Amino acid sequence: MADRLGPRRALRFAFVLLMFLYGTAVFAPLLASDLPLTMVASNERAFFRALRTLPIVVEEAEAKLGEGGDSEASVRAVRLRFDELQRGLEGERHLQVEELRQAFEMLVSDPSASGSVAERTAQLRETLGLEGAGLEDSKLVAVRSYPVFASLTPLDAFWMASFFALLFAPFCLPRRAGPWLLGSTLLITLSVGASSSFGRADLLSGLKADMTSGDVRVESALFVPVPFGFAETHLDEGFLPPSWARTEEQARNDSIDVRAGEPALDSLQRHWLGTDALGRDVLSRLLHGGRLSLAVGLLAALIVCVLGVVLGTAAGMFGGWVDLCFLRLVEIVQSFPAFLLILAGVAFIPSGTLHPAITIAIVIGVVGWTEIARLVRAELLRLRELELATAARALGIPPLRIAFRHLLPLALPPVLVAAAFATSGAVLTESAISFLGFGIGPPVPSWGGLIAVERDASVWWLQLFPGLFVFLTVLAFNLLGEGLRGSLRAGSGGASAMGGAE
Amino acid sequence: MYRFVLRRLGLLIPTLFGISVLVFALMHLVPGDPAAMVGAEADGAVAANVDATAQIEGFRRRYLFDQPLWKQYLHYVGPFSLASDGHEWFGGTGRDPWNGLLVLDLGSEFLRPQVDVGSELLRRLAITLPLTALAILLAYLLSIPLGIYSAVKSGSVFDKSSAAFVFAMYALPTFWIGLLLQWAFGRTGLDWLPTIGLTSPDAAELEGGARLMDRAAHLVLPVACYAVGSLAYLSRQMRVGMIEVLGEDYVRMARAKGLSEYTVVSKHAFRNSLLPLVTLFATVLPALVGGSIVVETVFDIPGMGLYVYESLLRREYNAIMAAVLIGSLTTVAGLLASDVLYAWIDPRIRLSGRRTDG
Amino acid sequence: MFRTFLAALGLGLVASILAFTVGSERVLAASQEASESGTEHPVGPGRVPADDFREEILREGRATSVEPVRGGRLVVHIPTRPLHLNRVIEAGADARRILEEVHARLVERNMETWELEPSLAESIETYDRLTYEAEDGRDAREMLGHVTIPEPGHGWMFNRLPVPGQRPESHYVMAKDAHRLGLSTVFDFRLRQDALWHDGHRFDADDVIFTLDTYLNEAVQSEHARHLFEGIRSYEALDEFTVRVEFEKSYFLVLEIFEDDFAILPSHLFDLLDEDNERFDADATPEERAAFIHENPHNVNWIGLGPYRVTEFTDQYLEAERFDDYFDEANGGYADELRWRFIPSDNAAKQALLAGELDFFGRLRSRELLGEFTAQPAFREQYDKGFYYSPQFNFVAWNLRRPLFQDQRARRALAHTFDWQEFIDTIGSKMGEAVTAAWYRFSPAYDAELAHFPYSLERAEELLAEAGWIDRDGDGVLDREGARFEFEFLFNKNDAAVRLIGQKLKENLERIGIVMNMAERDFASVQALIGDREFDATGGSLFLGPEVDPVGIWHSKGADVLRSKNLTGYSDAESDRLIEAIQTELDNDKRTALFHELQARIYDAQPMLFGCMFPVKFAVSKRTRGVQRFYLDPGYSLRRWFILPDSDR
Repeated sequence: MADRLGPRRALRFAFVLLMFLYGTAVFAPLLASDLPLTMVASNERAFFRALRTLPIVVEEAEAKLGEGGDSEASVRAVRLRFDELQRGLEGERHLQVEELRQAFEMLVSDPSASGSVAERTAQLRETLGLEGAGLEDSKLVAVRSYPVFASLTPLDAFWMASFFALLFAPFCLPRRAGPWLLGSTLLITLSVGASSSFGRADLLSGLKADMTSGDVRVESALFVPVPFGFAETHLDEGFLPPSWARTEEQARNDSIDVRAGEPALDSLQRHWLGTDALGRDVLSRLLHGGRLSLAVGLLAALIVCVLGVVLGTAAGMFGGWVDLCFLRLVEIVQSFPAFLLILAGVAFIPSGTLHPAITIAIVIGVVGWTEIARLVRAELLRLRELELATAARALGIPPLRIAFRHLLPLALPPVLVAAAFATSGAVLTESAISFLGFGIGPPVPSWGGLIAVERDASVWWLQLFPGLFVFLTVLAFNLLGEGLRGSLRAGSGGASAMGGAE
Repeated sequence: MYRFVLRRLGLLIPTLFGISVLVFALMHLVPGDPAAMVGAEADGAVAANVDATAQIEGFRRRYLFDQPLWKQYLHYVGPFSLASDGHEWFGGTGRDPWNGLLVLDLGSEFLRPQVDVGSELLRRLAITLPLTALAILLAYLLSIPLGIYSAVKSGSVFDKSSAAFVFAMYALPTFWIGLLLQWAFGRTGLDWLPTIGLTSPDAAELEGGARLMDRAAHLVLPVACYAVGSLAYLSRQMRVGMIEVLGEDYVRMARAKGLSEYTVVSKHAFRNSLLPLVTLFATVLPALVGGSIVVETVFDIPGMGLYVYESLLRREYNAIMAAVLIGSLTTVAGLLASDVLYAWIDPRIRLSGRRTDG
Repeated sequence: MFRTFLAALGLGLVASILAFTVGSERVLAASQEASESGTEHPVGPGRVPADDFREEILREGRATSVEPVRGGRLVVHIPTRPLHLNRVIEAGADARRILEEVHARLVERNMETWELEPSLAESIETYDRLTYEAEDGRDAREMLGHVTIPEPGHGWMFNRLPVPGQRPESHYVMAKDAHRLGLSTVFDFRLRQDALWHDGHRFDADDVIFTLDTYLNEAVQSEHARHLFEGIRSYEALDEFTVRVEFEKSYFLVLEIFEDDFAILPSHLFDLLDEDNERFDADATPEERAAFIHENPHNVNWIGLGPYRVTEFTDQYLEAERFDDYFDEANGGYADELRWRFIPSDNAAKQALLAGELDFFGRLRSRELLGEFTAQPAFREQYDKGFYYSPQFNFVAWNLRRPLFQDQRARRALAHTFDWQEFIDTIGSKMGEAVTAAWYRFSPAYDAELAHFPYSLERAEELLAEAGWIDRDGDGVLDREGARFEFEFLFNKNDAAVRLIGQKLKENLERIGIVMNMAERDFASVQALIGDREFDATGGSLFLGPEVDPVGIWHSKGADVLRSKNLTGYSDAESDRLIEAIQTELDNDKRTALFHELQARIYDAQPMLFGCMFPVKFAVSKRTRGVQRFYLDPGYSLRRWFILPDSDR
């Protein structure tokens, strides 16, 4: 098809599609989240929690200081709480807290000094005039915060940065570097992306609920386009069809409570793609699921390539019994039940040591390297007979060097093509594994897993859209592969493969 | 040639044993054994009143699960049975001394002791084989002419649209297309075809012709689902290969000689473009036998794929080993067959004695 | 061309999405039509209200007063095919359902009153056997009678059984001599003389004796039930129709054992030592007898004692025909044939249902019960729907051996973190019950007054803070002495209810700063890991009986034993005492009180996050009558059903 399309066109189309999918995956936390992008609010809950627990930690800190043991953690805990308290207060009350804080700090610097701050902290509530006060009249200061950005891990940020690099790369870098660039960015992004964590256990977890109940008094807040978290349940909104396919009655169900930042019940923006059994927004889960599926696909492809290239080179260059072992190994691996390996991997490797996504990627990689290896081997066998190689051998260059420095670069183009197809294959395999129920566990979404939960035709939105995304991803990588194949083979095949990417 | 084949067949035995050791070890690394399934209700609930400990211990003793791994492996391979009623040399009562792979005994299921693994596999194969054979046959039958035609008519509307269509098909996930087909043609859609299983529930009561029709109707969707992926891949391979061949010098020569297009294609180009399809044969054979877990799950077909899957979940070690060994047997056979065919089709390879593809 | 491709792709996508939305709207519209006429809560097939425990027999709700007629065939769905029907060597639940109609038992539980009533055993007499040994070896006595204790702490009064021609005899044993007493309980089963096996052979004491032999024969694979009979001191046939069984201690579930776990085998077909047996062999060893039982073709070609006789047993179904020589004619069934269809896949079963091929299907989901599936014409025209409760419940269990859960305060805090009622209202569509004990909600042993801890995350936080769990380092997770409150929740991936519970619980816990990592595994792995106690918390479902012996799950003797039922590791001396008292207490009311006390005690300690139970949701065909729902498993009684003749529909 690429011939029809022209390799350039295929590559461009693939590029656009991949950037779109990639982009939504990388920026998923900024596109779909239950946290606001920015808000000006006073967090009453955190404030009163800090107030309540301050005496306890102060007491602990003082005890530790008195003993002379390691008190750093306790002191830090106290400081954290003072920060929280001061953040929410202004004017005189702020000063009162400051005074208490100074007293504590003096104690820290000189543990032998007399006086205890603990009692005074226990009375702090009274001192501040908040005794018996309801949340409404506590008059805390509203501060600006950026919850979504605070919830990003450094790896997330790195992934986003690398996305921009990838986006602008074709325009900035010389043409000939094309395939290499692709290869290296794949390398970077997958190793980074695959280790992104999904857990986000911080005080922000209950933020939306607090905003709704008033525990966090909001003056203004800006939410992301899809203001639903991927693990945020709305139990009374289970199995809701997509907003544009909803009937009148479903839209007007008044018993559902609309939480802070969410669109109204009858608005089209409420659950674009419907909800699942626990009322979680499907679009949000799709976007976050893409991270996993793409990451696993890319990581698996990397493993496949590395294993395939290394083993194939060894077999191709050395021949003899190495080659024989290689062929037997290929047989063994090809007939090995992949499923058993997955089961063993997921069951045997506890999720603490290795993220299940990495386990699955490794398994897919270990099972799928044979095709690339055979490809490399075939290419090397062919290239070995060329004058280039014969000359090198005559010169006495060690075979490994010949292989990696001289021959492999010539053999690389078909490998890159195969790598693109390996990625699409890995994405398909991962979604099939998740579909069968052996993927990453809840609540982390993955495209195949979304389909697996309910196979009833009455909840068609749960199956149509995830499958669609898988389809698009696979299509994109296939197009990439086809485009690469066409462009890299332009002109006669073989030794001059690298000449002219277009 | 014969020496080559014989040598490969000879290497089969060590390969199989290697695989059996690996799989055996791996199986037992996964926590749980069939005894875990004893005493459990069908839907996984645990019965509060039943104390299955004694039963589980007895079960374990009976099937040697409390023995060290190497002993269990030896018992599996045979020919001596190490069970309590096994061969006298090993402390058994001698009632049932022989068992194991070496006497071609694949064992029976642990949770259903009267079910012999070998016969169960045959039964499942009888279900899977028609499905996969039909699918692959269909894929080959459709892809070859499609590939040739679009290669020959390269650049036409037909070529372009079929190429696009086939390309899209190749990217479809099997389970998704299965579900969509079910919806489109099943009760929720057009209601033309049955979507579950291979027979209607009351099939036993239909007579010959009607039963055949019923069976055929049930096969349509699974076969289509299964064939979609292979069809796309094969026709692409065919087309690519054909285009390449048509560009070769000898074909141009033939054309220059004045031979008709038809002769050129069928006599000269065709044979050589078959080569890539032949190498694919290696992967076709295991797929034929192994079936597809995904298709069988979606369509509720109790075939080989689902059998292996269920056996894994129930830790039916004998069944898993048997299925894996059969799988590896067919893989190796397929590889061998494709090599032989490849050499046969391409005389250059035969003559030069070198194989560029092991 | 490129553009055409894009256009085609786009068009295709749009078309498919449109098709599905239009299609789904059609279905939705149909369901709306239907739901207008329906009730907001389907209570049975529209004809019977839910029965309450211990109330009278359900009344036939439909206006017609049609007399039961004989004839026709009932087709019932069963998810898995049992391997065979011999429950002595296998403990599956599916065989039990079939055997309900195809076999009979010594005693049977009345479905409405839950009392154990005589069936094959016409009457049962219970006595105590007293053995009294005097200090000097003299005066050793042994007699049958009844023991009464006039006043606790005082001696025992023993009244000997009246023997015709002799005066009644009483003996008084002082409390201080109680250690020289041996007391065991004797049951005399007087069997019916008119019960026939399906092949015409008469049922007699030999069958019962042989079955007891079989359970206790070590070579037979009856381990699952053997321990129940190991408390038997002796048993013998007093005559052709009387069996005497002596138990070492009194145990409140003894008769229950004979009701549920004692599956009588025909000795003339299974016993090598029975002269009537074709393969009679006087020198058969126990191993040979065992092998004969294991490999007996009658495990499948079942000959039983029930109102229906097995005629066919294939891979797809089991068919039974009414047996006209059944001893209890009034209770002998109306349908001519019963067929149990084995359809493991629910999807396939639902298809069969819509095609009208089943009369009963018990695996509907709540969404289907209240949603489109049961609203479509194909269903409504042929079936009624309803639900009934069966003794099963979902729970979350903490591993008390882990440091995190050893603190009772922490566990009690966790009890406030899940809103069971909301869960039942939403996921279960208001069909379900929250439970606070590991015994059947609708049994007398369950104290319905015991309230759940209220759902309150604030309260949970407070309690945790009191226990020392505060987020000291500001990372959002509670900690104490440097350890985070983080644990792993292990569960079976196929258990849909627990999966949902787990995810909701995780969300709730995160709001108060507890991290719960979900670890889903396949069933065998979960069983193995739980057995080896390699888990922090787990969830699952427990299948109960009408009366449960709490010793398996709650007694401390199993707490340190791997693979015992005591998965939580619960160990409490007072609870042990209560359990032991329950085991020997034969008075129903007293035992009930003990159960309530035990329930309160266990609930207080919170070794489990006690949970909820969901009913069985079923569809039954409109042409059947006499369908009643019971709180006992299986929840219905096929022999009471009859098929309405076409003229009356």
